Amino acid sequence: MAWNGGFGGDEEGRGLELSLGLPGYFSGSPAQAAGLEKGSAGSTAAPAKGTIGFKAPRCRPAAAAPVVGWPPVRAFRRNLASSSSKPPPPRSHEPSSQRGNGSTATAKVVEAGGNKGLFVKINMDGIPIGRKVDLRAHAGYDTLSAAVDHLFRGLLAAQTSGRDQQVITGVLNGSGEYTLVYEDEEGDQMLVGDVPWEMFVSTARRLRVLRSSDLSPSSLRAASRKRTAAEC
Amino acid sequence: MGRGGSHAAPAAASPPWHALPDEVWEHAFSFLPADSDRGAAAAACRSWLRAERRSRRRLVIANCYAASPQDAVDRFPSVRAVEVKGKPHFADFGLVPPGWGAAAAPWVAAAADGWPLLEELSFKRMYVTDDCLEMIAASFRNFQVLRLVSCEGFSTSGLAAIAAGCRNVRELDLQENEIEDCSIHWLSLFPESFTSLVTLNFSCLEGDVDITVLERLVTRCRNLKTLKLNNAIPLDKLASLLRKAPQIVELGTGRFSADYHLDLFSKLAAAFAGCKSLRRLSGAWDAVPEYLPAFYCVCEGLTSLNLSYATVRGPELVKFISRCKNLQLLWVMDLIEDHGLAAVASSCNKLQELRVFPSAPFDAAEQVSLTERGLVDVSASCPMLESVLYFCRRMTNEALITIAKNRPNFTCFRLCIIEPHTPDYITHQPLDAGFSAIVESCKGLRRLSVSGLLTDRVFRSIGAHADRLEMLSIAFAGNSDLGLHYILSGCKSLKKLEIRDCPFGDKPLLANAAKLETMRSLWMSSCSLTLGACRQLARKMPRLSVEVMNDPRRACPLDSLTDESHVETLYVYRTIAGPRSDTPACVQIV
Repeated sequence: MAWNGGFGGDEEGRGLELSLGLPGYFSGSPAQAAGLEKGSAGSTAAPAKGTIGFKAPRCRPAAAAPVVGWPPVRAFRRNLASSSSKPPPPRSHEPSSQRGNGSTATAKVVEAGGNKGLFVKINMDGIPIGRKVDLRAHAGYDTLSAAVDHLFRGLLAAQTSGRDQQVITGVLNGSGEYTLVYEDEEGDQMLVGDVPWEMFVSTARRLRVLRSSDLSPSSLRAASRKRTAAEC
Repeated sequence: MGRGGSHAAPAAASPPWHALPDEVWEHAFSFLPADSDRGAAAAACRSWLRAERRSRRRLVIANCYAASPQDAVDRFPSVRAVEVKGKPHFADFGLVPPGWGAAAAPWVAAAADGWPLLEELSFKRMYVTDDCLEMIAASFRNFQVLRLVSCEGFSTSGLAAIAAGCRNVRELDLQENEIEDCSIHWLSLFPESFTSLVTLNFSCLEGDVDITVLERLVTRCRNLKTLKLNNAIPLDKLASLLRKAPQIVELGTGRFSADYHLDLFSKLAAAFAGCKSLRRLSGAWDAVPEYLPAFYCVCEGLTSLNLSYATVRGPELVKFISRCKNLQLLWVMDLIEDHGLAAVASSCNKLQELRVFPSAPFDAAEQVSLTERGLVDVSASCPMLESVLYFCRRMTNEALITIAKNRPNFTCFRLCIIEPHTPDYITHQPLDAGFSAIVESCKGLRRLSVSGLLTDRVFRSIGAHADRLEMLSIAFAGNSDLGLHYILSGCKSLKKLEIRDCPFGDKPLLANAAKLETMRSLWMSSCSLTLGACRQLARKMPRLSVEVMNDPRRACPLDSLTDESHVETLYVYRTIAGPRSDTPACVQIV
């Protein structure tokens, strides 16, 4: 079914043409929709003027290719959608303890153009400003420990004014002035580096860079942190 | 003037109206309801200008780059309350890179210098640092209200400075900000003698808060009317907080989930029963259906209910909302579904504003049964409904036409059909007819967002009929330059236009360049603009600032680019301050 419409004199004597292919819900991705037209390859530039054609509908709806900033929901809301559990099946009278207990810090899952980042907070002893690190952006413990140095070296130097910027090393093996620990989903503090990397990424909720001299075996396998007490 | 009094002196003895002292005019101007009226009065003559500007107490800078802070201070020396807005609206959805600008620091510095008696400061979508907050705490001896909306750049250290330094602060209202969590207990820095808090909103804070300190603060601030907690406050603490503040009018609960225990439920229900003045309710993250009945005793009095973060669904949710017969504002997730909205329609007849948010915005398949039906039902049964934000996955022209007929009193209509280019799911036509009906029927429409499959035709209707429209948002719509031309050559009252992923090019932009100076701003991203047109626009309109951005991760080397090169993002706004000097590398001013 094609429709040729004109709007009278005010469109430079040119008719607008709309031709629909097969009727049906168009379920291609927005990137594909734009790409149907004479857009440059790979870009999501909008279709050129004139004709719009439609693909025949697919048999099943495809997952929408991620478009930056669409749908227009705020960052808070994206995290809500992805980090909260799916709504439970209708009506059971069980308490929804599967939603996760309230005493665990949540890691933020952020979407940016298709890549899911996993940002966890990281604090360093003596530095009031916390940072965030994307665990999925790292391949292993080495790059993570390099990131720690990167994130805090300048801040540390600023705190201990007068000294030059010192590289922060040895956070994984106890040889340095600082040691990297993490808090898992049960709230226990563990040394970073003991478990396989993938397991670490899936269980780590928060990171801390503690002074090695402050660490003791008992404090590391401490019981779940209470959420009200003053922090270090 | 001399009627009735026989001993009245001849008229010449009383001053002619145009020589009345300034105080008289200042008093007269205080009755003008809108800033734009005051501005118009100030343009009448020099003496009115003098009287108006000296007596202006409230100032809204809707675009922080439209004028310099010094301009504002010089022109309005007696301001007591200022609101400054920064980044364009699409920054909320990640389309504006970090470091883009909108720093609050120059405004705080100018205010500290020129408005020492400042009492209220409000920033929206701006970059506010801890230094700014410290300067605020140190500079204004009678500072009372701090409101930060969608801001970032500060931490709890900055909040600590406010708590410690602002002896008379009444309102600390933090809405949807990104706040860095530091190891400082800012709440405990309110002195023990401090009792003046009326509003405390820290719902967007991610970190922990010392509950004991909070309880003591709430106990001693007997005038506390608004308390909005963050997600870290567990349910069992909510009851004890409420008992200490039964006078509360607006409450944002903390996390509203816990294993069900009868005694906790009873405690909550009893605490709510004591809050006879509670009118506005929000929060309820992860709300557990079993606890919703604890709210029942306050339902009758509620005028505003924000459950847009509550991922709760099912009969408990609907039962709860249906009891709130006096609701004027309702924000929910689409988990309420059509049948829930039908219940709202029949129970909440005083509804004025409805927002329905998507629970799974990135899923392709429909998981909840929320369609055009829900909106049709509410529009049919709620005669005072005037503001709508509705996310759904399907729509028909017929539904929109029905809605338009039911509710000609819409002032704000924002429909977001989640999949771009979605046509009428029954007729497979574009949704032109539906949105046209909206703008033709709703003569008072001030804000409109369109979505779904749309051709230039709808923009012709909007341009022709939407006389009062001030803000228009367009995405994945239109099929030629005509679409944009219709908008820019019509829409008499248009102030803000934001467009993304539409086939609009250079011609309508240049043909309507003068229109842009009557508007606050224009945003166009992923359209069909070229650099040459932007250069031409900047040359033609010296009082517009024309900002171009291509790749937010890369510098924008305008000089090396030809006129034909594609412009990914254009942001244009009128300004009396000239080009700003704080652009990051990815943004260039043409």
